[in-house]
Amino acid sequence: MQCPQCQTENPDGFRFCGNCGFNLADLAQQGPADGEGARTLFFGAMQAPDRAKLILIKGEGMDGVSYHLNATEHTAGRSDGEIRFPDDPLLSPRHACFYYDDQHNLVVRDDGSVNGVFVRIRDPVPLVAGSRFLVGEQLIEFQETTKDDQQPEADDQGTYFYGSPRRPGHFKLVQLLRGGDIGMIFRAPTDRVTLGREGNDINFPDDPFISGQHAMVNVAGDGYELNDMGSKNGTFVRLEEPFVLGHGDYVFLGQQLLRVEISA
Amino acid sequence: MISCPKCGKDNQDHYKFCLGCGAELSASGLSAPGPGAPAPAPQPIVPNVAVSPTPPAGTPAVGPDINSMAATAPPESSPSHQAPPPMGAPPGAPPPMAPPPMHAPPPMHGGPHAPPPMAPPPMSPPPMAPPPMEPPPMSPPSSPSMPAMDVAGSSGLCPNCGAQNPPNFAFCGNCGTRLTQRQESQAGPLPTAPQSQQTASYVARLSLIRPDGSEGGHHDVYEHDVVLGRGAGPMFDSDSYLSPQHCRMHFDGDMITIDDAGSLNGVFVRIVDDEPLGSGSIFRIGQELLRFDAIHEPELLEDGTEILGSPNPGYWGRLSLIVSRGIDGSAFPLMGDEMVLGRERGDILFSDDGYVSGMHAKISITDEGVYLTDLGSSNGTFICLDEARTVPFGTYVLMGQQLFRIDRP
Repeated sequence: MQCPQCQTENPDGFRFCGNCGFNLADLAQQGPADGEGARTLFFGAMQAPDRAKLILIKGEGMDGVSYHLNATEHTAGRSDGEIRFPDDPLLSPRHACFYYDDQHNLVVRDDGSVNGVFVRIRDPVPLVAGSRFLVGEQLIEFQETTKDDQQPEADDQGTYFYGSPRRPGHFKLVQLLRGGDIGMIFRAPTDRVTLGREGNDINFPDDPFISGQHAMVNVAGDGYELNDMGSKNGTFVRLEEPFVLGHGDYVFLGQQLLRVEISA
Repeated sequence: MISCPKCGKDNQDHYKFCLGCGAELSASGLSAPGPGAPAPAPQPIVPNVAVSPTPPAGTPAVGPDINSMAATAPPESSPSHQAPPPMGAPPGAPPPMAPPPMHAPPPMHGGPHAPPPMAPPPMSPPPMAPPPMEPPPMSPPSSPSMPAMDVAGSSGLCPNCGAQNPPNFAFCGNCGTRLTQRQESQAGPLPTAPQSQQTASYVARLSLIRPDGSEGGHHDVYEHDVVLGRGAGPMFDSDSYLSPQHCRMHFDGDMITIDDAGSLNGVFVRIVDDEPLGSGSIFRIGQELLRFDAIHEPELLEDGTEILGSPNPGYWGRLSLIVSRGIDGSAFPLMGDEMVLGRERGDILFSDDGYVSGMHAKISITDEGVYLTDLGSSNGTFICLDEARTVPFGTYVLMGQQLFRIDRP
């Protein structure tokens, strides 16, 4: 359905234009079909009405459009698929896929996107080298430091590399900037590092979306884990493999935050 | 951990100098100028000066001039003296990790502790506590019976470890032992000739600055073009941070041109004015090796996607601590008009580095570019040369662990 206001093509069933918010339901009512017409256009709905849906979160907890996931697979992206956000430059043309697996679980998969798919963590999650997560607006990459502690090696002429004194560091957290540049690298002097707006090991005082005490990375057994400290907006980890979504999960695609609703 | 004998601060095993007070952390103290000798706070920039000012008695000198070669001796002379040999004890007192003897004369008392004839490869852990980081000096003497100059000649056979090297190799690929005679000893006047020789004829004198700020030995240059490096003279011979061909100098009247001769660790000169920094510029303050990188505006990828990341709150650059080849430690974003580096005050602090002054240097950005400026620090700020540079006499040069000043004849 094309929005009469901004000409954006919206998936059928949209009550509001995903681009400009124009009330498409009113438009539909004026049309030949009745107000329910939009919904019937989802063919899958006939087999499995409302199996699951994604609710687009529009700032301050307001819900926006909802996407009914009634087919088997639903692609999301900037220009491809059923769930499209043409104005979000952080989305790849084809970004992610929501599908049902053999057990009828709703699964989200990164479809080779540049920026990845992030899911809000409910419990502590393990981190490995290269893991990325979002706290507020900050994108952080976790890195191990074990390599640093290896013995120095001479080059083929027997010369050793001169480096700065090594401070103890259990791991490193790297702030990645828009565009991919590195902002800051923080070496963890102890086995746990807290992140937030103020009073933490790493503070982002200018980030309006970060909580006072937001998240913590710590050594856990032989590995490392990421914890949310009860933040308002949550801590999101980038998916490395397909992830089974549950009711109430939050998914970040580019700038789009989606809440998962699964009917019983 | 090594507790500093002077101030009590715990230092990591490989440190050569206390990060708190700058005192030398020597296992035995043998190679230190003397107990408590090092001056307290402001230390010279080169905490790692390799040349031991006090040659242990009895160090056999093969060359005429080998004051500093003694630096290779102490290690073996006192291993049992004190607990685990300080890892990064000054090169004077290294764990025998990179054992190859250079051309250094074997110290008499080196025998009992000398590494086995089959020198372990550089990577193999030293018998004692392995230094996590600071490499030992090149040349713990091997066997006393090994005449220093009895080298491979053209055969390529390493006299130290027996490895076969291609005939034209200057150093053994296995253990690092010098395979060829030092050029200086074959041609031309010895650059390291003792003072008794015609002192008038040298074109420049490189005066070593010790860790305590006093002047150490010197290295006289007799030719207008020289290449300095490990093996160029006693001042440089025991410094395993020096490449064999490290620094090229050209002397022409009052003009001195310095260039990196393809070294691993670079050639640094002390800055006197605002020093322009380009992305990738490397410099040193205290013991910190830092790299400046510019931060650019994000660009869209080919398919129109922008790379996700934290919003840039105004960073225009980043300062990264280089801890190893290709590995950065901490990195500090740069924002505002200028950022001050120091030990106590400023925007980026190295509170545990006793060689960094309270306020040491600043990095500023103007319409013209980014500049590094020393703020009157005790030990100076050193820029790594990325191209040949002409400097005046009196310039301080830092390479490997050696800090020296280029003096007029």
